Amino acid sequence: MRFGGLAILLLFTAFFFVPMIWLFLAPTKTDGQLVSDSPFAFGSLSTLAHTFHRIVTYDGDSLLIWLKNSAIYSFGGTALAVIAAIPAGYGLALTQFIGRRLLLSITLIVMIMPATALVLPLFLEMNKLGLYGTIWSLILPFGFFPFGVYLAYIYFSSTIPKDLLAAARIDGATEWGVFRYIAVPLARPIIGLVGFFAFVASWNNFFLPFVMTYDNSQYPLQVGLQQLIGSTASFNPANYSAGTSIVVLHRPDLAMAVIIAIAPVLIVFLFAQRTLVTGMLTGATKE
Amino acid sequence: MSIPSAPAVTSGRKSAARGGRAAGTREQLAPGGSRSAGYFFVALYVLLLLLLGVAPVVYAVYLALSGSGGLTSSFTSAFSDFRFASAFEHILEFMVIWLVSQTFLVVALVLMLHNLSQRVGAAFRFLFYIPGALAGAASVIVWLFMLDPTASPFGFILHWLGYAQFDNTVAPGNLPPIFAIMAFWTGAGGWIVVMYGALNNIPHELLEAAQIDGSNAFQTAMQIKLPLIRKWIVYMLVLSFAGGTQLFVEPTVLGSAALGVGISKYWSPNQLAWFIASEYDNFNEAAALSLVLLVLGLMVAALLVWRGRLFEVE
Amino acid sequence: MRSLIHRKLWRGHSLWAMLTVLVVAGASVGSALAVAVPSASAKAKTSSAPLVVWYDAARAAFVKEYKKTHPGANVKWVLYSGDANGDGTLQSKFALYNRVGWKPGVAPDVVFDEENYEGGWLGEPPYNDLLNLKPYISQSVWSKDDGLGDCLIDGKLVCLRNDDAANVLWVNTKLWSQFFPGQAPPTTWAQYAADGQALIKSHPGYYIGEFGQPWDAETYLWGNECPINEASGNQVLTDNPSSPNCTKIAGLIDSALGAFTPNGPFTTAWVTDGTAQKMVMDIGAIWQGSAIYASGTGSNGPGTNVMEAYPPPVATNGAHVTGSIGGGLWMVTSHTQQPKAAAALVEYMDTSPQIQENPTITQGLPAYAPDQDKWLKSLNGVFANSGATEAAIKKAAGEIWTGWSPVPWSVESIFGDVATPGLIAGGSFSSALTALSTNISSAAQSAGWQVKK
Repeated sequence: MRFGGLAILLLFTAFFFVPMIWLFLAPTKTDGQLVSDSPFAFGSLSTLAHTFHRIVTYDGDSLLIWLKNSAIYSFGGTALAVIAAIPAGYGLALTQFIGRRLLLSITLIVMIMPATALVLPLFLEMNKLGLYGTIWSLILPFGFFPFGVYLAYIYFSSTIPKDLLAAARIDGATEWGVFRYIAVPLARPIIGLVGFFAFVASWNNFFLPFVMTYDNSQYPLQVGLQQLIGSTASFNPANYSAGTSIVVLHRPDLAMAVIIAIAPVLIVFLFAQRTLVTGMLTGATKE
Repeated sequence: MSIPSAPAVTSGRKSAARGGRAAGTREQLAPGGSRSAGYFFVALYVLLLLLLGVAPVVYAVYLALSGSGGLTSSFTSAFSDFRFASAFEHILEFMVIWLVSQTFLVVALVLMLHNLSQRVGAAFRFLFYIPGALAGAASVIVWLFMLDPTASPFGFILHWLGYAQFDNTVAPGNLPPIFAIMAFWTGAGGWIVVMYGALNNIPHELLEAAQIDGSNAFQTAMQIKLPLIRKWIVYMLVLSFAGGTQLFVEPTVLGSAALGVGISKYWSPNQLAWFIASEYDNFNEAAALSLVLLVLGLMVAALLVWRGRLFEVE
Repeated sequence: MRSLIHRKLWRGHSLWAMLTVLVVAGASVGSALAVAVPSASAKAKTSSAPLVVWYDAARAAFVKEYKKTHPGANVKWVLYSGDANGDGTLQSKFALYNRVGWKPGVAPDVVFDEENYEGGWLGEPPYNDLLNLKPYISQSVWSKDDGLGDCLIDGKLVCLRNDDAANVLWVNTKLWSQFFPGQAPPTTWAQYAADGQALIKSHPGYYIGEFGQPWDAETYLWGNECPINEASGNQVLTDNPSSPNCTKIAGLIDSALGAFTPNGPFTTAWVTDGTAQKMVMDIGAIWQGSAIYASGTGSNGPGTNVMEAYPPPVATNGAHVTGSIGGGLWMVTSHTQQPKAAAALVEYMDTSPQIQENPTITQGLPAYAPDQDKWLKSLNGVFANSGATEAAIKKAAGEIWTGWSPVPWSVESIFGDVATPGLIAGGSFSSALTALSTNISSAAQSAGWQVKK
């Protein structure tokens, strides 16, 4: 029983992890080696260097531009999400105003509402506002993060005793002072958590930037990756008819691009895992 | 798929106390500070909510109802499109396979992990969690290779299934399970972490008591642990369902790499909506389709939320 | 425990107060944002906006050459997918631009499109986004382009054809003389199929062609004047799969199906299973010759001096016609503010001898006839019997059937979607034909076309 359980776990480990191993080995091989060698064979470091160089310099510095765009959209969206969500969560949890419950209910509904259903009307709206093709057409939607509001609400309502705030008010603190000097310092974990979720959601979003951007100089990495598929020989026969003098991308180059595209999120995953998990659970199960 | 995160559940004690009040707002005024402060704190969020949450929905409704042929014309022409039924069949098949297998496997894996030592369990959780960093286009590109029998590390399995080349693997009948596997690959790890955390919150005394009562590991899992993470399972289903109806990037990217073999540009309903908007320049019909998806997602979510008593907000 | 949503959700008085606040707040933000608009769009309206050119990865060398010969040209080069495999990038971006406006300097003036049927698509309603090039390019130039059936639509010239991608019969001379000693390669589809049947018996595992690729329709049906995708003007489509021009060829292919491989030249199995070395014959586009069969790597094909091009088989109805796979189009958008400059760039790309005659820049036969001879000379030493190969290519280049009209849907996509799966699973080409026809008709009706059987 115990043994069988372990075997099942190992089987799933293979399922989850083998593609990752494959991905990191792929850029060390040439296109020919990729299909003819064992999937787990290591090519060579010099091939890796060539692959890296080829993809980073492909079409000028497209990949770096996409990386920069992804960073602008994601960090902008994340900053806005945090700035909006933390005070809103605080307000919902620890202040009273007319419509508070209604707002909370709407938040829950919108949180469950699949955002992609709104991409088309959002596109038309952004166009009417004159924001289409600007970074705001992405930063604003990324910054609207009801899930973060809900997390913050739960955090504030379960970790900060109301008596503490009441005492501060009696001592003459203003509402802003109470928030700024009592709530915010206590809210560090939830700020990190909301920031992380908002960042990952923005970084990985495909459909919205796919619609909202003018051309490849505005693409974030996720959309850029799809374009790279069209530039990769095996995935687009037209590339075979290209002249012999130009650089044609191959599958290992594409794998390298994927690694670069996921690196930021992966690094957060690797180094902040413990904090994240703890944070996730504090937000979640605080008694 | 992005990383799932937790539904927050406040303590039962607090809710009970609060629930006993008749009309709470007035008497809470004193501890809660002034009303205007509350408005101030939520103002920015409310603006965003109006602009990006409420307005697009209203606009979508307006668009859907203002088709050239009258109020319901956009809906009727969407429903009668020859691609409509197949797109919804695809998504239905995908959802059933994905939701059932994800629910079963995540719960089974997390219960197994919970029986291991803390350190070993953490290692497994980490390995399961890592693919979550790959979402959308990135994960599809990786799976393009995983599904090609001639290049895949899983090639032996594909050959054993009788697939000699990529086109065989991505045969139309296989696409729903393939997308389910992709979704599971990126999403399951996050849920496992979340549920493991929830299990860790079960008081030790409770588990010890069960042991003393003579129940074995399996019985403890089924009778004590499972009921305690029920909420999380419902939550996982709600978010997965809402997200799953929107399947877009996976079929889009797979289609553009598979030389169009076996996968159309209108495989999923969301793709069909986009196709109708962009290729026929018919945003009204596209909005009608989007609304159908939205309502579908919300209905199921609402059902699960209410039946599962998920969000105890006060 | 009581859930909030579960409880009385819509409490009267607070709801109205909230809504009022929300509406007022929303309106003020909306107007604040709207004020910011004019400055953003006004900036782009200057006359010095660069010419925006969208090109695909395979055309990168064209761009390099253009930059070399036109230093200081005010052009913004934008690499995009080329609408590869009909991925719809152009359709979706054009639809969006038609909503948001074609901003000079941002929206494209010139577009290269890998899908040869898309000229008709983007040049007709609801798009109408392509410029009629006739006033800008002299007829003595454009009339020398081969394969203009894809570009001449309702009397308008909506594109120039980049390369002539006519299909020829590629023969592996080594395998042929070994398996069919003393016999000449087929000149009709009936002979072609008969050779296939003989090959199945004598050398199973060797092939005379591919099937199950999205361009099967363009190989076998187009090349036989099969009328399942014929535009008869005014948004009327003729789709008649029971015409003998369709059924005969489908029957012939079915009679030798075992001699067709599902491993197309762009699958990994083409290399890993050694299919490339087992093609005794293959019907394929001109560019496939040097790009695939004769490629130096030796894994994509048998290498140089082995393959020879023969004229495509004469159609089952006796016509000397052939189909075409790929090719690509140069188009100017009708929204450009610099139509002259845009048309000049397109003309240069399409006809310049420095570009079109140079195999290090393009491996496709130039559609522009005056450039063809020099390009063909470059094939010396690449194929067996260079002279005969060049003659066969030249003959095929002028034989593309013009009845297979550009239409606003992708036959390749439809074929890949509904016909390929059946073929790969062991179905017949005849049933693939039926599935294809049904779905072409549906696509046509959805696009607002009338269908004539």
